[in-house]
Amino acid sequence: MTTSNVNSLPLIEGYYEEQIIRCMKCGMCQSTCPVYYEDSLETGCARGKLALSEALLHGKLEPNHKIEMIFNKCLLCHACAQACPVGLSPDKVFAAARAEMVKRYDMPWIKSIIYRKLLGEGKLSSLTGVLSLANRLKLFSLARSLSIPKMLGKSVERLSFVDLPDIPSRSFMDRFPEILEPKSKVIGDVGYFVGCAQNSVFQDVAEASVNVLLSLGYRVIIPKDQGCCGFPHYGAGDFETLKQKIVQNSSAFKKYKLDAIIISCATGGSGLKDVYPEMTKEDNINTLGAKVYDISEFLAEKHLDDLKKMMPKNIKEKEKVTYHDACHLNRLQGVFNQPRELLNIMPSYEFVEMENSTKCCGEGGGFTVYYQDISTSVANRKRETIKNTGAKVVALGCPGCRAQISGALKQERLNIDTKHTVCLLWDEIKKGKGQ
Amino acid sequence: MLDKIKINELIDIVGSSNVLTDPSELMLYSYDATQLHRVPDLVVIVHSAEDIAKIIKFARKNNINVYPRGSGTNLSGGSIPADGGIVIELNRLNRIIDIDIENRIAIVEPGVIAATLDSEVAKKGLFYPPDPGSLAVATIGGCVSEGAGGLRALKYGTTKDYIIGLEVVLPNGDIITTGNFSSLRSSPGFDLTHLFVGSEGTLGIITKIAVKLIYPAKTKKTLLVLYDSVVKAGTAVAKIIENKIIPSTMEFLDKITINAVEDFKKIGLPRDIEALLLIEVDGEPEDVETSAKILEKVCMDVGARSISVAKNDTERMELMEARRAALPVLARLKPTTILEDATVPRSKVPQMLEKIHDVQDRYNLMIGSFGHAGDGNLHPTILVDRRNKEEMKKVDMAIKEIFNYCIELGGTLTGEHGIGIVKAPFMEKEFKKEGLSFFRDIKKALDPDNKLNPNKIVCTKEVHLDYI
Repeated sequence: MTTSNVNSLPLIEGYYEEQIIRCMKCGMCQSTCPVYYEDSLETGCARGKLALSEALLHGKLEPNHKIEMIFNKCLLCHACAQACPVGLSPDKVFAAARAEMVKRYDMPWIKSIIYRKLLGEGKLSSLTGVLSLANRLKLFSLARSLSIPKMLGKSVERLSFVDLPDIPSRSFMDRFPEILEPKSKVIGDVGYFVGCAQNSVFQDVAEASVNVLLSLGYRVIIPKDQGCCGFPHYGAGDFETLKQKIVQNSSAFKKYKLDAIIISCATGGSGLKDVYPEMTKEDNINTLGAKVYDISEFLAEKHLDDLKKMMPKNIKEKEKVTYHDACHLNRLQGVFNQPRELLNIMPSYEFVEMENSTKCCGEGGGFTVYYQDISTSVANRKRETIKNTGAKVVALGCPGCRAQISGALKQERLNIDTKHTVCLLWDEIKKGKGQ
Repeated sequence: MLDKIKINELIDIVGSSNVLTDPSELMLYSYDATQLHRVPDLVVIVHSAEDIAKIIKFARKNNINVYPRGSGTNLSGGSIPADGGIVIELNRLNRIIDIDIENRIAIVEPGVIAATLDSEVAKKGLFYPPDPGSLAVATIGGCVSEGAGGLRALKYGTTKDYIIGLEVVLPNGDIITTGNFSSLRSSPGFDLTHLFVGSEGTLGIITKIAVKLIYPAKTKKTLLVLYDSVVKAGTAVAKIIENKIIPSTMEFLDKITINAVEDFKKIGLPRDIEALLLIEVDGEPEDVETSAKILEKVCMDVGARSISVAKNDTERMELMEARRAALPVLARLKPTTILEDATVPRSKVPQMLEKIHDVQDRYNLMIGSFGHAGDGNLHPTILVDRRNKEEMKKVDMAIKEIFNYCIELGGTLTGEHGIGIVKAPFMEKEFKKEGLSFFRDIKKALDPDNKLNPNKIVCTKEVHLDYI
């Protein structure tokens, strides 16, 4: 055994050696891992990747591209952590391991453009412009039929699986001012963390979130100089850009005195709540200036009764709605009951549970590009459980899940809508106001 | 080592995607839950008994060792490719072929996960009782090969008691069927089925399994009993059975384990108690009520500090929590958890525990004990840091003492984990020279070249295994 490699893997060693050494190799992670479920290979489950980390740590294997790909074979869904008898968080070790690989090999150019240029730049507007243009020119489907480099090809193929709405040419933050005043008396100041997806692709979510908060009487502050949350960089092992994002968002939100910071993106929320403290060794309030809440968490915990009063009356026909638990909302943030409480007060909907609602949808950032077959297969299982409920709408709280699930539903041309919980809520409030 | 030409021969049999050769992938098939490891030369993923027969013939021709592997959750090194060679990965043989409700028999392939069999037979109103701790991930093939037990073994027995027939690929490549797949009663000649049950893949590779099923009990009642002394708890166990009550579960936790549960779960157990028993009775509602009353009385008469009885399912789950948490909380105390499996006659449990405590004090180790008190099957769990070489030496000595004493008490090396490679050196102590020699003869008769999972159960040469 050599120890020469230990020094060249400071991230693994520094943060996570204890995690690696504590794995009992009991294999319980196999029971909940959605990737292992698909191919039953030890490369899929956490135990295998922890063993690999250990072999690297002890110099029994040298890092190479094959190992890099094994570390990429993880959805970061955190299901293994829940099953782990020892209480490890293997997904965090894998993110650190990816970072080691990025340091060693740097990123493929296409990944570098996505993570460092589009998501890494100070402002989010450029992303909206590029996506909107590509969408309008039908570049995604066009590129699929052309001969293009493998990695780009896979990314494009991937984009043609997911279902994205028409993307407006102007971003949400371009369309809305920095400070929005409620019509009624101000009950508090909340910051809104927009996030890339809501700023460009799913602007309906940002609009609904802001409108619900305004109706409750909050002054909503949307700092213009906020950026991407950094979770995509965390997942891709680009810790350098992640650190820049933390600094940028910290200064953007700390400028204001806020009662809370609200986010309506599951992944972004777990980034702010879970990854930031991991990196800064400080809590949210020290890092961002206020406590971070997912929108459904904030609304259900603080305003369920207020919202009940805003619901429409005399609704006769109810539509069935089911709910998909995003891994980053349920497992990483512990938000499970809150969106259900919101759905249950909506008179236009009858809430029905789907089987395995907490099982991952198979999205997972770069995973979907590297392991498209597994990703699609996981998504198809989710589609079946949704179909079985007979619901006409799937509510959820994550843009990644939304693109993935609506993509899977589209494959079978099913007439089932995917919507963020807060969009359904805002529709109900509007209906209520009209009465 | 295998050269390219030979690897190509294997690729011809199972296809290139089913032959793993990359060092990083081989690393992932090098260990089991003992955490020990040895990197195999090759991993071959098989899809049928015929695939296995071909690979076994190939291995024999080329003088290569072969090691069957399921989920790799075993605790004795049984699936580690300890002497190099090919790992045969059996997870793809995972079909439930039939659940015959009329004859109460299920026929499954070895790669079926135990929990899956459990839930599938439950859907048909039937019950497969063996429930090892690794139920959620262990394969049935692994359970059969190791003789897996579980919490319900006291009343219902272990895996051994449920296997009525097997399909096995022999070390010469022949595929045979043992027992009977459609009848619960069958006795022509040698009990070949039970020659393979518990054989840990040393005599053949199991490719089909017929299990007996029963009907589930209608009701359950659970009690949690606290004791100030281990001897009192042990006496209670004996008295309960003397009173003609066979609980479905009778589990034990010692003081270190109880305190670890309190450290992490805070369920309100007093920290000064020496032992707790978790007892469950099941059956017809009236019988369960009567048994529970007798249980309460017996436990109290022996001097229990307190007894809690679950009134409903929620309370039942709450009481179970202490037992369920035992291993996870112990595992949190130190970086490395070594889970042992010493089994003694029921009446000797207090003596065995006394010995474990004595060993712990003398070697200055932390050992938490819990287990299936009703069967005398204890799991002394040694908590250490495997990076500390000095401490690991003490662990080796402590384990030796524990097993030697366990056999002196008339016990056995394993109640449910199997012998594998880690306990093979103790076999002579339990079976004497002549007994072990008979084991060896059987192995030689079936596998004269010693190619199938060599060095397990019967040690043929010293092999040193280390952590990754």
